[in-house]
Amino acid sequence: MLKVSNVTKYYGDVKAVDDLSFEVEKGEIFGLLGVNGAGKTTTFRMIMNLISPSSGTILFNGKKIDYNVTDKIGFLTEERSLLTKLTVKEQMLFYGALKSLDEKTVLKRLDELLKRFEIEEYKERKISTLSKGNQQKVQFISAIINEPKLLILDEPFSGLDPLNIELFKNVILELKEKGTSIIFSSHRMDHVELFCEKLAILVKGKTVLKGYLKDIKEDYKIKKIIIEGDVKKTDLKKINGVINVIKTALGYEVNIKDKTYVENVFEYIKTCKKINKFVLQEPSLEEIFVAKVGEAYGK
Amino acid sequence: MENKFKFLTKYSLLKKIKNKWFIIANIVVMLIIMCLVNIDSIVNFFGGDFNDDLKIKVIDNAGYYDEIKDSLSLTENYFGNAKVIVSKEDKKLEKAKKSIKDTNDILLVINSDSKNVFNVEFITDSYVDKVKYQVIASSLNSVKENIALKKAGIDTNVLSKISIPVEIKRSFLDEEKTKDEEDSKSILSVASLIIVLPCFMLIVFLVQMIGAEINEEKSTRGMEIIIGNVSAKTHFFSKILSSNLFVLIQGALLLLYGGIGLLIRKLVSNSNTSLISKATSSLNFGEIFKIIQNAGVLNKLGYVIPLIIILFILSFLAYSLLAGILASMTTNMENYQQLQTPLMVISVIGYYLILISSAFPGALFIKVISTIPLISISLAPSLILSGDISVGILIIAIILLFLLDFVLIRYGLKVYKVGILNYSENDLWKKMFKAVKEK
Repeated sequence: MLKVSNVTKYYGDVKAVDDLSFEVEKGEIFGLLGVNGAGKTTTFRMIMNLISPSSGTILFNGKKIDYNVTDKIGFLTEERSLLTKLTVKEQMLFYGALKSLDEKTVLKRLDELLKRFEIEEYKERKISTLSKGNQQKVQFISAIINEPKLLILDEPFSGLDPLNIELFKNVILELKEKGTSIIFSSHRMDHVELFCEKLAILVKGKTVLKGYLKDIKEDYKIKKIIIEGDVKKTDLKKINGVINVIKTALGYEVNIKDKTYVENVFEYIKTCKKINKFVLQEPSLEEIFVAKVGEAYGK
Repeated sequence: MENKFKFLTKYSLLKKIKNKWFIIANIVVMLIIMCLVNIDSIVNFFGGDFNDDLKIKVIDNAGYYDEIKDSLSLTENYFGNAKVIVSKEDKKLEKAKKSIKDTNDILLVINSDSKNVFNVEFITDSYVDKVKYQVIASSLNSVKENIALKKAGIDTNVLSKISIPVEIKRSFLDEEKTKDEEDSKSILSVASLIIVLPCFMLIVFLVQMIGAEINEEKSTRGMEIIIGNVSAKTHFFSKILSSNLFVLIQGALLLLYGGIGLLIRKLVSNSNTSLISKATSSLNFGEIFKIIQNAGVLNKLGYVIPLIIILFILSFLAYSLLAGILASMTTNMENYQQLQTPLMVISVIGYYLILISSAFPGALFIKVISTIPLISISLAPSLILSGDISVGILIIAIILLFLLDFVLIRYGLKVYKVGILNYSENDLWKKMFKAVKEK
């Protein structure tokens, strides 16, 4: 289990991470979200022991992370971390040795993973000659070649087409099933929503939202009603508790302050002649993210 | 961690040695060195005018032909494989001139001269090189001196005494000093200059190599993965060790190529009687060794050479530590090239000072400079072997180098730890100073 407790990191006078705390259990996927410069990569670098926190502690299975522990951690950086002059095989042997793996084990796992990622033919090819997507696959393989107990994925879907994103998703879920704790960052909220049980949203290093995704959605008071039928936008806007009304292709999207105001909208709907659809929806993670980040920036 | 250090060192070393460009460069360097050592044989093989016999025709109007012929025949040694053929010309001057038209032959017209025994008109169709002209002129002067002395009534015994060089007995107030020791200093001084030049080249090589390797890993962010699994200290020292081992291997290969060149030279030397080969054959290594042995210098070298080796090791370590630290601070190879320039200039200072040190024997300034780390590797070995500095000064140079290495390891490592994961040039020096201050 990874436990990050009250971690703060200063770069000079700038507070990059402010009193961050979270836990990732075995076989759990944790999403660390935030716009660029929110402090996600700094957090990952602190977990990897590349930089030290100014204060706070980071423990993995109750122990401080040092070079005895890092063999069990996989790290996929946001930017390319491959030595592009090497072949795929040489790269894996190099990183494998850094993870204290012997050559035989690395080659066995490499063959399996290359097959899984459908790039077996590139084993002896120089990394510099591969496409961006295939380089990302190789980078991902290098992060999991040691069968990590903790996997850190900083923007893992960068440069991938939809088919390969699906492939990555399946592999990540397989790792979760095998008990790997995974920390995940992505700009794509739909990916986070699909994977993560727990998440934290960072804004300028500060945690603005944290917890289980289900609870976050429930606790987020603003709800959305989808209406399709013979209704008037001006009438909807006048209803007590309605924040705004958005016209969509098929009807209207009505945002209300909280679910107690659903009845007010429903009373109006009853007066309308024709209604095809009336659905109360939980807000998407993207909407929560935009709202929370917007709040933090005072928008 | 120890295994990872071994792995990184081995990986880095093998990566350099297995590189096809290393193999190609070494094949080229080997061929160049072997050609340079045997350059005279190569020049002779392709031939040219220098191999043509030198024909000297003499119109003797003074009656000294025999003496002149004997003297000129002795000059053959100076003209490589070419023979000197001296013949008496009986034709009239104008006909004799026509006979050397469009040739490289020389026509000497010897005329009596009451004041100067004889004078000579040196006639050729084309220009004559300076060496050839000087050799013939010296030979004629020698003939003139002998004839003049004979004419003065000096008998043969006296004449031979005059031609024998003056006997000089070299002695010293300090009885422990010997002539052989004096000669050996010059020999060793030249020898050290020959050794220092490849060392200088290897330093340049070392600094470039460390910088390129660290920048390559850093620029791809592969450094984050590496430092995520091994400490910066392990990574740093594996780079230093592998680069120094590589330089050591390259240095040994250069010596091997030189040895192969000399072996080839030895094998072809029997058929090689050129001027260069004769000149180089005067480098009798047995004789040189004898001088050094007689001078008692071997005993001194017994403890000076280990000290010089320590100086070399500490200097190479200092250069590689500095190169590693500077490379960690830069974000690309172009910036590293800029930052390492002062380091290269410092290494050149030592070599330049060796060249001018002979013009200022005993100069206090040069003695002081010879103790300064990074410069001492070039200057101190040459000065100690030529006797310009004492062993004490060499030891001071070693102590200063040791201190520099200690400081570089203690504080440079802190800079390295921060530098290799720093990708921004903003507040670079501030970050580095802060790293040094951290406990």
